[in-house]
Amino acid sequence: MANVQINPKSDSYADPDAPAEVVALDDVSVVYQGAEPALQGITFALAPGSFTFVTGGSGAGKTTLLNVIGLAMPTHSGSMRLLGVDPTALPRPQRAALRRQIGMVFQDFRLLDHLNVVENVALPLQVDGVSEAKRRAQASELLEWVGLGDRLTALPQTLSGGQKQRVAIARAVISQPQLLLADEPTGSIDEDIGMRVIRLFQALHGEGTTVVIATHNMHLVRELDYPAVHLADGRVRSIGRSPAREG
Amino acid sequence: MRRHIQIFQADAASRYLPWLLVLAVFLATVATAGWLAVERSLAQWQTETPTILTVQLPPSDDAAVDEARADALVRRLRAEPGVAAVERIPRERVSRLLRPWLGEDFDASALPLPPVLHVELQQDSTTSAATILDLATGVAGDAIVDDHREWREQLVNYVGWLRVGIVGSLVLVIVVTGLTALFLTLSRMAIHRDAIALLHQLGAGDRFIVRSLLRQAGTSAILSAVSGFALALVLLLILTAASQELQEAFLPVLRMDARDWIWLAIVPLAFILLTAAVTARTAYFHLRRLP
Repeated sequence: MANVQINPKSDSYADPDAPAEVVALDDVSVVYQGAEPALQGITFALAPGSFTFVTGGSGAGKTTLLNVIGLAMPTHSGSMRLLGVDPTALPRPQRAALRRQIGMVFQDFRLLDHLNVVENVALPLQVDGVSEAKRRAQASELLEWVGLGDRLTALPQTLSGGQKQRVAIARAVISQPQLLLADEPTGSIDEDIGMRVIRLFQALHGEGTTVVIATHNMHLVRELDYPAVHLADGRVRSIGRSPAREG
Repeated sequence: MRRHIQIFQADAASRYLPWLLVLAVFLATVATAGWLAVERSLAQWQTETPTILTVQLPPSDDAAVDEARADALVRRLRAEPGVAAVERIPRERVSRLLRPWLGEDFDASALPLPPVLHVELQQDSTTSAATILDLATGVAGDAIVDDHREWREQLVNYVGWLRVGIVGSLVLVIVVTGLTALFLTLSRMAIHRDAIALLHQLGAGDRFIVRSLLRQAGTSAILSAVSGFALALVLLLILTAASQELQEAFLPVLRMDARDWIWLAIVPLAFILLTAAVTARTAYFHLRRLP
Protein backbone atom coordinates (compact mmCIF):
# COMPACT_ATOMS: atom_id res chain seq x y z
CA MET A 1 0.00 0.00 0.00
CA ALA A 2 2.87 2.33 0.64
CA ASN A 3 4.61 1.89 -2.67
CA VAL A 4 5.08 5.59 -3.20
CA GLN A 5 7.71 8.27 -3.66
CA ILE A 6 7.73 11.57 -1.87
CA ASN A 7 8.51 14.38 -4.28
CA PRO A 8 10.46 17.47 -3.28
CA LYS A 9 8.52 20.41 -4.60
CA SER A 10 5.03 19.04 -5.12
CA ASP A 11 2.76 16.82 -3.14
CA SER A 12 2.35 14.33 -5.95
CA TYR A 13 3.52 10.73 -5.45
CA ALA A 14 5.40 9.09 -8.29
CA ASP A 15 6.57 5.58 -9.20
CA PRO A 16 9.29 4.44 -6.80
CA ASP A 17 11.17 2.81 -9.68
CA ALA A 18 11.85 6.23 -11.12
CA PRO A 19 15.56 7.05 -10.99
CA ALA A 20 17.34 9.61 -8.83
CA GLU A 21 15.65 8.82 -5.55
CA VAL A 22 17.78 9.55 -2.51
CA VAL A 23 16.24 6.71 -0.51
CA ALA A 24 14.33 3.74 -1.88
CA LEU A 25 13.17 1.03 0.52
CA ASP A 26 11.51 -2.10 -0.82
CA ASP A 27 9.80 -4.47 1.62
CA VAL A 28 12.43 -3.83 4.30
CA SER A 29 12.16 -5.66 7.61
CA VAL A 30 14.28 -5.52 10.74
CA VAL A 31 14.01 -8.06 13.54
CA TYR A 32 15.80 -7.73 16.86
CA GLN A 33 16.87 -11.07 18.29
CA GLY A 34 14.12 -12.63 20.36
CA ALA A 35 11.70 -9.77 19.81
CA GLU A 36 8.85 -8.73 17.58
CA PRO A 37 9.94 -7.24 14.21
CA ALA A 38 10.93 -3.60 14.64
CA LEU A 39 10.14 -2.89 10.99
CA GLN A 40 8.01 -4.94 8.62
CA GLY A 41 7.55 -4.57 4.87
CA ILE A 42 8.63 -0.95 4.68
CA THR A 43 8.39 0.37 1.14
CA PHE A 44 8.74 4.00 0.13
CA ALA A 45 11.10 6.31 -1.68
CA LEU A 46 12.31 9.86 -1.14
CA ALA A 47 13.21 12.12 -4.03
CA PRO A 48 16.18 14.49 -3.85
CA GLY A 49 15.39 17.73 -2.07
CA SER A 50 12.34 16.43 -0.23
CA PHE A 51 11.47 17.24 3.38
CA THR A 52 9.76 14.37 5.16
CA PHE A 53 8.58 13.64 8.66
CA VAL A 54 8.61 10.11 10.06
CA THR A 55 5.93 9.98 12.70
CA GLY A 56 4.54 7.44 15.11
CA GLY A 57 4.27 6.70 18.77
CA SER A 58 6.94 5.37 21.04
CA GLY A 59 8.18 1.99 19.76
CA ALA A 60 6.64 2.52 16.32
CA GLY A 61 10.02 2.02 14.63
CA LYS A 62 11.02 5.63 13.83
CA THR A 63 14.56 5.41 15.23
CA THR A 64 15.06 1.96 13.70
CA LEU A 65 13.97 3.30 10.31
CA LEU A 66 16.39 6.22 10.54
CA ASN A 67 19.17 3.86 11.62
CA VAL A 68 18.48 1.64 8.61
CA ILE A 69 18.51 4.60 6.22
CA GLY A 70 21.62 5.98 7.93
CA LEU A 71 23.41 2.63 7.52
CA ALA A 72 23.74 2.28 11.28
CA MET A 73 21.79 -0.96 11.25
CA PRO A 74 21.46 -3.84 8.77
CA THR A 75 18.15 -4.97 7.35
CA HIS A 76 17.03 -8.57 7.67
CA SER A 77 15.06 -8.72 4.49
CA GLY A 78 14.07 -6.50 1.62
CA SER A 79 16.30 -4.17 -0.31
CA MET A 80 17.39 -0.58 -0.10
CA ARG A 81 18.97 1.88 -2.47
CA LEU A 82 20.66 4.91 -1.02
CA LEU A 83 21.79 7.80 -3.21
CA GLY A 84 21.33 5.50 -6.18
CA VAL A 85 23.36 2.55 -4.93
CA ASP A 86 22.75 -0.68 -3.04
CA PRO A 87 24.85 -0.22 0.11
CA THR A 88 24.99 -3.95 0.84
CA ALA A 89 26.83 -4.47 -2.45
CA LEU A 90 29.54 -2.00 -1.52
CA PRO A 91 32.87 -2.90 0.08
CA ARG A 92 33.37 -1.44 3.57
CA PRO A 93 35.48 1.58 2.52
CA GLN A 94 32.86 2.61 -0.07
CA ARG A 95 30.10 2.07 2.45
CA ALA A 96 31.96 4.40 4.83
CA ALA A 97 32.20 6.94 2.01
CA LEU A 98 28.45 6.60 1.45
CA ARG A 99 27.88 7.31 5.15
CA ARG A 100 29.79 10.55 4.73
CA GLN A 101 27.02 11.62 2.33
CA ILE A 102 24.49 11.22 5.13
CA GLY A 103 24.25 13.60 8.05
CA MET A 104 22.67 12.30 11.24
CA VAL A 105 21.35 14.26 14.19
CA PHE A 106 20.87 11.96 17.15
CA GLN A 107 18.23 12.34 19.80
CA ASP A 108 20.95 12.23 22.48
CA PHE A 109 23.27 14.50 20.45
CA ARG A 110 26.28 12.15 20.81
CA LEU A 111 28.86 14.86 21.30
CA LEU A 112 32.30 13.80 22.52
CA ASP A 113 32.66 15.30 26.00
CA HIS A 114 36.43 15.80 25.91
CA LEU A 115 36.33 17.76 22.63
CA ASN A 116 35.21 21.36 22.53
CA VAL A 117 32.37 22.60 20.35
CA VAL A 118 34.44 23.47 17.29
CA GLU A 119 36.33 20.14 17.49
CA ASN A 120 33.06 18.22 17.73
CA VAL A 121 31.62 20.01 14.73
CA ALA A 122 34.83 19.52 12.73
CA LEU A 123 34.94 15.77 13.42
CA PRO A 124 33.40 14.71 10.06
CA LEU A 125 35.99 16.84 8.25
CA GLN A 126 38.77 15.21 10.27
CA VAL A 127 37.39 11.83 9.23
CA ASP A 128 37.46 13.11 5.65
CA GLY A 129 41.13 14.10 5.95
CA VAL A 130 40.56 17.86 5.70
CA SER A 131 43.41 20.03 6.97
CA GLU A 132 43.27 21.51 10.46
CA ALA A 133 42.98 25.13 9.27
CA LYS A 134 40.12 24.36 6.89
CA ARG A 135 38.34 22.33 9.54
CA ARG A 136 38.50 25.16 12.01
CA ALA A 137 37.38 27.75 9.49
CA GLN A 138 34.40 25.75 8.26
CA ALA A 139 33.32 24.66 11.74
CA SER A 140 33.56 28.21 13.07
CA GLU A 141 31.54 29.56 10.14
CA LEU A 142 28.86 26.93 10.66
CA LEU A 143 28.71 27.57 14.39
CA GLU A 144 28.19 31.28 13.64
CA TRP A 145 25.32 30.24 11.39
CA VAL A 146 23.63 28.19 14.12
CA GLY A 147 24.16 31.04 16.60
CA LEU A 148 27.01 29.54 18.62
CA GLY A 149 29.86 31.68 17.35
CA ASP A 150 30.67 32.73 20.90
CA ARG A 151 30.89 29.15 22.23
CA LEU A 152 33.58 27.71 19.96
CA THR A 153 35.86 26.48 22.73
CA ALA A 154 33.15 25.48 25.17
CA LEU A 155 32.90 21.85 26.22
CA PRO A 156 29.57 20.08 25.53
CA GLN A 157 28.75 19.63 29.21
CA THR A 158 28.62 23.41 29.61
CA LEU A 159 25.94 23.79 26.90
CA SER A 160 22.17 23.77 27.22
CA GLY A 161 20.07 21.13 25.44
CA GLY A 162 19.21 23.50 22.61
CA GLN A 163 22.84 24.50 22.16
CA LYS A 164 23.90 20.86 22.08
CA GLN A 165 21.25 20.20 19.47
CA ARG A 166 22.56 23.02 17.30
CA VAL A 167 26.12 21.71 17.66
CA ALA A 168 24.86 18.28 16.60
CA ILE A 169 23.12 19.82 13.58
CA ALA A 170 26.26 21.76 12.63
CA ARG A 171 28.28 18.52 12.84
CA ALA A 172 25.70 16.69 10.73
CA VAL A 173 25.77 19.25 7.90
CA ILE A 174 29.42 20.34 7.87
CA SER A 175 30.25 17.82 5.15
CA GLN A 176 27.33 19.11 3.09
CA PRO A 177 25.55 15.74 3.03
CA GLN A 178 22.95 15.00 0.42
CA LEU A 179 20.69 13.44 3.02
CA LEU A 180 20.08 14.71 6.54
CA LEU A 181 18.42 12.46 9.12
CA ALA A 182 17.29 13.82 12.48
CA ASP A 183 15.89 11.70 15.28
CA GLU A 184 13.53 13.65 17.54
CA PRO A 185 15.52 16.87 17.15
CA THR A 186 13.00 18.81 19.22
CA GLY A 187 12.34 16.05 21.72
CA SER A 188 14.54 17.25 24.57
CA ILE A 189 14.38 21.02 24.10
CA ASP A 190 11.68 23.57 24.78
CA GLU A 191 9.24 24.70 22.10
CA ASP A 192 10.89 28.00 21.16
CA ILE A 193 14.31 26.46 20.76
CA GLY A 194 12.66 23.56 18.93
CA MET A 195 11.19 25.91 16.32
CA ARG A 196 14.60 27.57 15.92
CA VAL A 197 16.11 24.14 15.27
CA ILE A 198 13.39 23.32 12.77
CA ARG A 199 14.09 26.59 10.96
CA LEU A 200 17.70 25.43 10.58
CA PHE A 201 16.45 22.25 8.92
CA GLN A 202 14.20 24.31 6.66
CA ALA A 203 17.16 26.49 5.69
CA LEU A 204 19.18 23.38 4.80
CA HIS A 205 16.22 22.02 2.87
CA GLY A 206 16.06 25.33 1.02
CA GLU A 207 19.62 24.73 -0.12
CA GLY A 208 18.65 21.37 -1.64
CA THR A 209 19.40 18.94 1.17
CA THR A 210 16.98 16.04 1.53
CA VAL A 211 15.74 16.17 5.12
CA VAL A 212 14.08 13.38 7.09
CA ILE A 213 12.93 14.13 10.63
CA ALA A 214 11.60 11.48 12.99
CA THR A 215 9.26 12.91 15.57
CA HIS A 216 6.33 11.99 17.77
CA ASN A 217 5.39 15.68 17.95
CA MET A 218 2.21 15.72 15.86
CA HIS A 219 1.71 19.38 16.65
CA LEU A 220 4.95 20.12 14.82
CA VAL A 221 3.97 17.91 11.88
CA ARG A 222 0.58 19.65 11.58
CA GLU A 223 2.22 23.06 11.89
CA LEU A 224 4.54 22.49 8.95
CA ASP A 225 3.39 21.68 5.47
CA TYR A 226 5.55 18.63 4.73
CA PRO A 227 4.71 15.00 3.90
CA ALA A 228 4.91 12.42 6.65
CA VAL A 229 5.51 8.67 6.76
CA HIS A 230 3.39 7.45 9.65
CA LEU A 231 4.58 4.27 11.38
CA ALA A 232 2.77 2.02 13.81
CA ASP A 233 4.06 -1.32 15.13
CA GLY A 234 6.93 -1.23 12.67
CA ARG A 235 4.68 -0.86 9.61
CA VAL A 236 3.92 2.11 7.39
CA ARG A 237 0.32 3.07 8.16
CA SER A 238 0.10 6.07 5.88
CA ILE A 239 2.16 8.38 3.74
CA GLY A 240 1.13 11.94 3.01
CA ARG A 241 0.21 15.17 4.75
CA SER A 242 -0.54 15.10 8.44
CA PRO A 243 -4.03 13.76 9.19
CA ALA A 244 -5.26 17.18 10.28
CA ARG A 245 -4.27 18.85 7.02
CA GLU A 246 -5.40 15.98 4.82
CA GLY A 247 -8.53 15.45 6.75
CA MET B 1 42.10 23.75 17.88
CA ARG B 2 44.86 21.36 18.92
CA ARG B 3 47.06 20.05 16.14
CA HIS B 4 46.41 16.35 16.80
CA ILE B 5 43.03 15.85 18.38
CA GLN B 6 42.81 12.72 20.50
CA ILE B 7 39.45 11.44 19.42
CA PHE B 8 39.48 8.83 22.17
CA GLN B 9 39.72 10.07 25.72
CA ALA B 10 42.38 8.61 28.03
CA ASP B 11 41.07 5.48 29.75
CA ALA B 12 42.16 3.02 32.41
CA ALA B 13 43.03 0.31 29.89
CA SER B 14 45.31 2.67 27.95
CA ARG B 15 47.04 3.71 31.14
CA TYR B 16 47.79 0.05 31.96
CA LEU B 17 49.47 -0.65 28.61
CA PRO B 18 52.64 1.41 29.29
CA TRP B 19 53.27 -0.46 32.56
CA LEU B 20 52.82 -3.76 30.77
CA LEU B 21 55.35 -2.69 28.17
CA VAL B 22 57.92 -1.53 30.74
CA LEU B 23 57.75 -4.92 32.44
CA ALA B 24 57.55 -7.00 29.26
CA VAL B 25 60.45 -5.23 27.54
CA PHE B 26 62.54 -5.41 30.72
CA LEU B 27 61.96 -9.17 31.10
CA ALA B 28 62.36 -9.86 27.39
CA THR B 29 65.61 -7.88 27.15
CA VAL B 30 67.12 -9.68 30.14
CA ALA B 31 65.93 -13.05 28.79
CA THR B 32 67.32 -12.28 25.33
CA ALA B 33 70.66 -11.25 26.82
CA GLY B 34 70.73 -14.51 28.78
CA TRP B 35 69.84 -16.45 25.68
CA LEU B 36 72.60 -14.78 23.63
CA ALA B 37 75.18 -15.39 26.37
CA VAL B 38 74.15 -19.02 26.70
CA GLU B 39 74.24 -19.53 22.93
CA ARG B 40 77.71 -18.00 22.78
CA SER B 41 79.02 -20.19 25.61
CA LEU B 42 77.43 -23.34 24.20
CA ALA B 43 78.86 -22.68 20.76
CA GLN B 44 82.28 -22.14 22.29
CA TRP B 45 82.15 -25.24 24.45
CA GLN B 46 80.75 -27.46 21.73
CA THR B 47 83.21 -26.43 18.99
CA GLU B 48 86.27 -26.55 21.17
CA THR B 49 87.39 -29.98 22.33
CA PRO B 50 89.09 -28.97 25.51
CA THR B 51 91.78 -31.29 26.63
CA ILE B 52 92.60 -29.57 29.87
CA LEU B 53 93.42 -31.40 33.06
CA THR B 54 94.16 -30.12 36.54
CA VAL B 55 96.56 -32.12 38.63
CA GLN B 56 96.65 -31.71 42.41
CA LEU B 57 99.42 -33.08 44.54
CA PRO B 58 98.11 -33.31 48.11
CA PRO B 59 100.44 -31.45 50.47
CA SER B 60 102.73 -33.23 52.87
CA ASP B 61 104.15 -31.88 56.13
CA ASP B 62 107.26 -30.70 54.35
CA ALA B 63 106.82 -27.86 51.85
CA ALA B 64 110.22 -28.56 50.30
CA VAL B 65 109.12 -32.10 49.48
CA ASP B 66 105.96 -30.76 47.90
CA GLU B 67 107.93 -28.36 45.73
CA ALA B 68 110.29 -31.11 44.64
CA ARG B 69 107.42 -33.41 43.74
CA ALA B 70 105.74 -30.67 41.72
CA ASP B 71 108.92 -29.82 39.83
CA ALA B 72 109.53 -33.50 39.09
CA LEU B 73 106.02 -33.95 37.77
CA VAL B 74 106.29 -30.84 35.58
CA ARG B 75 109.48 -32.24 34.05
CA ARG B 76 107.91 -35.65 33.44
CA LEU B 77 104.79 -34.17 31.91
CA ARG B 78 106.75 -31.89 29.58
CA ALA B 79 108.62 -34.94 28.39
CA GLU B 80 105.39 -36.74 27.57
CA PRO B 81 104.75 -36.60 23.75
CA GLY B 82 100.99 -35.94 23.93
CA VAL B 83 101.23 -33.01 26.35
CA ALA B 84 101.06 -29.56 24.72
CA ALA B 85 101.67 -27.40 27.79
CA VAL B 86 102.20 -27.67 31.51
CA GLU B 87 101.86 -24.71 33.85
CA ARG B 88 102.37 -24.59 37.57
CA ILE B 89 99.57 -22.51 39.00
CA PRO B 90 101.12 -19.96 41.38
CA ARG B 91 100.27 -20.26 45.07
CA GLU B 92 98.76 -16.74 45.04
CA ARG B 93 96.29 -17.73 42.36
CA VAL B 94 95.31 -20.90 44.19
CA SER B 95 94.72 -18.87 47.33
CA ARG B 96 92.67 -16.38 45.30
CA LEU B 97 90.46 -19.25 44.10
CA LEU B 98 89.78 -20.12 47.73
CA ARG B 99 88.71 -16.62 48.72
CA PRO B 100 85.02 -17.10 47.84
CA TRP B 101 84.91 -19.89 50.42
CA LEU B 102 87.38 -18.72 53.03
CA GLY B 103 86.90 -14.95 52.81
CA GLU B 104 89.12 -12.07 51.84
CA ASP B 105 91.10 -11.96 55.06
CA PHE B 106 92.31 -15.53 55.34
CA ASP B 107 96.05 -16.14 55.59
CA ALA B 108 97.07 -18.49 52.75
CA SER B 109 100.52 -19.03 54.21
CA ALA B 110 98.94 -20.74 57.21
CA LEU B 111 97.31 -23.38 55.04
CA PRO B 112 98.95 -26.39 53.47
CA LEU B 113 97.87 -25.60 49.89
CA PRO B 114 98.45 -28.37 47.35
CA PRO B 115 100.65 -27.68 44.35
CA VAL B 116 98.34 -27.45 41.32
CA LEU B 117 99.34 -28.02 37.68
CA HIS B 118 97.44 -26.93 34.59
CA VAL B 119 97.99 -29.51 31.86
CA GLU B 120 96.88 -29.09 28.26
CA LEU B 121 96.94 -32.08 25.94
CA GLN B 122 97.42 -31.87 22.20
CA GLN B 123 94.15 -31.93 20.21
CA ASP B 124 94.83 -35.28 18.50
CA SER B 125 96.76 -36.71 21.35
CA THR B 126 96.36 -40.35 22.32
CA THR B 127 97.43 -39.42 25.84
CA SER B 128 94.50 -39.80 28.18
CA ALA B 129 93.64 -38.62 31.65
CA ALA B 130 94.58 -42.12 32.86
CA THR B 131 98.11 -41.70 31.45
CA ILE B 132 98.49 -38.38 33.27
CA LEU B 133 97.15 -39.98 36.47
CA ASP B 134 99.73 -42.76 36.15
CA LEU B 135 102.48 -40.19 35.77
CA ALA B 136 101.18 -38.12 38.70
CA THR B 137 100.77 -41.08 41.04
CA GLY B 138 104.27 -42.13 40.07
CA VAL B 139 105.44 -38.91 41.71
CA ALA B 140 102.86 -38.69 44.53
CA GLY B 141 100.75 -41.73 45.26
CA ASP B 142 97.68 -39.78 46.28
CA ALA B 143 97.74 -37.31 43.33
CA ILE B 144 94.35 -36.24 41.94
CA VAL B 145 93.68 -35.62 38.23
CA ASP B 146 90.62 -33.61 37.31
CA ASP B 147 89.55 -34.04 33.67
CA HIS B 148 87.71 -30.83 32.60
CA ARG B 149 85.86 -32.68 29.85
CA GLU B 150 83.77 -34.56 32.37
CA TRP B 151 82.32 -31.52 34.15
CA ARG B 152 82.19 -29.51 30.93
CA GLU B 153 79.89 -32.12 29.40
CA GLN B 154 77.68 -31.85 32.47
CA LEU B 155 77.80 -28.08 32.22
CA VAL B 156 76.87 -28.13 28.51
CA ASN B 157 73.97 -30.40 29.36
CA TYR B 158 72.84 -28.12 32.19
CA VAL B 159 73.20 -24.94 30.13
CA GLY B 160 71.27 -26.62 27.31
CA TRP B 161 68.34 -26.98 29.70
CA LEU B 162 68.91 -23.45 30.92
CA ARG B 163 68.57 -22.29 27.31
CA VAL B 164 65.23 -24.12 27.03
CA GLY B 165 64.10 -22.35 30.19
CA ILE B 166 65.20 -18.93 28.95
CA VAL B 167 63.59 -19.36 25.53
CA GLY B 168 60.44 -20.68 27.21
CA SER B 169 60.34 -17.62 29.47
CA LEU B 170 60.81 -15.33 26.47
CA VAL B 171 57.98 -17.04 24.61
CA LEU B 172 55.83 -16.75 27.72
CA VAL B 173 56.53 -13.00 27.98
CA ILE B 174 55.64 -12.59 24.29
CA VAL B 175 52.42 -14.60 24.63
CA VAL B 176 51.35 -12.83 27.83
CA THR B 177 52.10 -9.43 26.25
CA GLY B 178 50.13 -10.36 23.14
CA LEU B 179 47.16 -11.66 25.12
CA THR B 180 47.19 -8.66 27.44
CA ALA B 181 47.29 -6.29 24.47
CA LEU B 182 44.35 -8.22 22.97
CA PHE B 183 42.21 -7.96 26.11
CA LEU B 184 43.22 -4.33 26.70
CA THR B 185 42.11 -3.54 23.16
CA LEU B 186 38.78 -5.28 23.72
CA SER B 187 38.38 -3.27 26.94
CA ARG B 188 39.18 -0.04 25.11
CA MET B 189 36.71 -0.92 22.36
CA ALA B 190 34.07 -1.41 25.05
CA ILE B 191 35.01 1.80 26.88
CA HIS B 192 34.91 3.82 23.66
CA ARG B 193 31.94 1.98 22.19
CA ASP B 194 29.87 5.14 21.78
CA ALA B 195 32.69 7.17 20.25
CA ILE B 196 33.49 4.33 17.85
CA ALA B 197 29.83 4.02 16.85
CA LEU B 198 29.72 7.78 16.27
CA LEU B 199 32.87 7.78 14.14
CA HIS B 200 31.53 4.83 12.18
CA GLN B 201 28.28 6.73 11.62
CA LEU B 202 30.17 9.84 10.53
CA GLY B 203 31.73 7.74 7.78
CA ALA B 204 35.09 6.97 9.34
CA GLY B 205 36.67 3.91 7.77
CA ASP B 206 38.00 1.09 9.93
CA ARG B 207 41.55 2.27 9.24
CA PHE B 208 40.81 5.75 10.61
CA ILE B 209 39.35 4.32 13.82
CA VAL B 210 42.21 1.86 14.30
CA ARG B 211 44.81 4.59 13.72
CA SER B 212 43.04 6.82 16.24
CA LEU B 213 43.17 4.01 18.81
CA LEU B 214 46.86 3.39 18.09
CA ARG B 215 47.67 7.10 18.28
CA GLN B 216 45.99 7.36 21.67
CA ALA B 217 48.46 4.93 23.28
CA GLY B 218 51.35 5.23 20.81
CA THR B 219 53.61 7.83 22.43
CA SER B 220 53.36 6.41 25.93
CA ALA B 221 53.91 2.89 24.57
CA ILE B 222 57.15 3.95 22.86
CA LEU B 223 58.39 5.74 25.98
CA SER B 224 57.50 2.72 28.11
CA ALA B 225 59.32 0.27 25.86
CA VAL B 226 62.42 2.48 25.89
CA SER B 227 62.21 2.76 29.70
CA GLY B 228 61.92 -1.02 30.09
CA PHE B 229 64.92 -1.44 27.80
CA ALA B 230 66.98 1.13 29.71
CA LEU B 231 66.22 -0.59 33.03
CA ALA B 232 67.25 -3.94 31.56
CA LEU B 233 70.49 -2.43 30.25
CA VAL B 234 71.36 -1.13 33.71
CA LEU B 235 70.83 -4.61 35.14
CA LEU B 236 72.87 -6.23 32.34
CA LEU B 237 75.76 -3.82 32.82
CA ILE B 238 75.80 -4.59 36.54
CA LEU B 239 75.70 -8.34 35.83
CA THR B 240 78.42 -8.04 33.20
CA ALA B 241 80.66 -6.17 35.61
CA ALA B 242 79.96 -8.71 38.34
CA SER B 243 80.67 -11.64 36.03
CA GLN B 244 84.18 -10.28 35.29
CA GLU B 245 85.17 -11.19 38.84
CA LEU B 246 83.90 -14.74 38.40
CA GLN B 247 86.01 -15.44 35.34
CA GLU B 248 88.94 -16.47 37.42
CA ALA B 249 87.01 -19.28 38.98
CA PHE B 250 84.34 -20.08 36.43
CA LEU B 251 83.61 -19.71 32.76
CA PRO B 252 82.42 -16.26 31.71
CA VAL B 253 78.67 -15.86 32.22
CA LEU B 254 77.93 -12.68 30.26
CA ARG B 255 79.99 -11.41 27.43
CA MET B 256 78.21 -9.24 24.86
CA ASP B 257 79.65 -8.06 21.59
CA ALA B 258 78.35 -5.41 19.18
CA ARG B 259 76.11 -7.88 17.35
CA ASP B 260 74.47 -8.95 20.62
CA TRP B 261 73.71 -5.34 21.55
CA ILE B 262 72.02 -4.87 18.16
CA TRP B 263 69.86 -7.93 18.84
CA LEU B 264 68.95 -6.49 22.22
CA ALA B 265 68.07 -3.13 20.69
CA ILE B 266 65.51 -4.93 18.51
CA VAL B 267 63.63 -6.16 21.60
CA PRO B 268 61.78 -2.89 22.48
CA LEU B 269 61.03 -2.27 18.82
CA ALA B 270 59.65 -5.81 18.48
CA PHE B 271 57.38 -5.36 21.51
CA ILE B 272 56.07 -2.01 20.25
CA LEU B 273 55.30 -3.66 16.91
CA LEU B 274 53.76 -6.69 18.64
CA THR B 275 51.37 -4.64 20.75
CA ALA B 276 50.55 -2.35 17.82
CA ALA B 277 49.86 -5.35 15.55
CA VAL B 278 47.69 -7.10 18.16
CA THR B 279 45.80 -3.87 18.86
CA ALA B 280 45.22 -3.24 15.16
CA ARG B 281 44.16 -6.82 14.34
CA THR B 282 41.82 -6.99 17.33
CA ALA B 283 40.30 -3.61 16.52
CA TYR B 284 39.82 -4.49 12.85
CA PHE B 285 38.19 -7.79 13.82
CA HIS B 286 35.91 -6.01 16.28
CA LEU B 287 34.97 -3.27 13.79
CA ARG B 288 33.86 -5.92 11.27
CA ARG B 289 30.83 -6.44 13.50
CA LEU B 290 29.61 -2.95 12.69
CA PRO B 291 27.35 -2.76 9.64
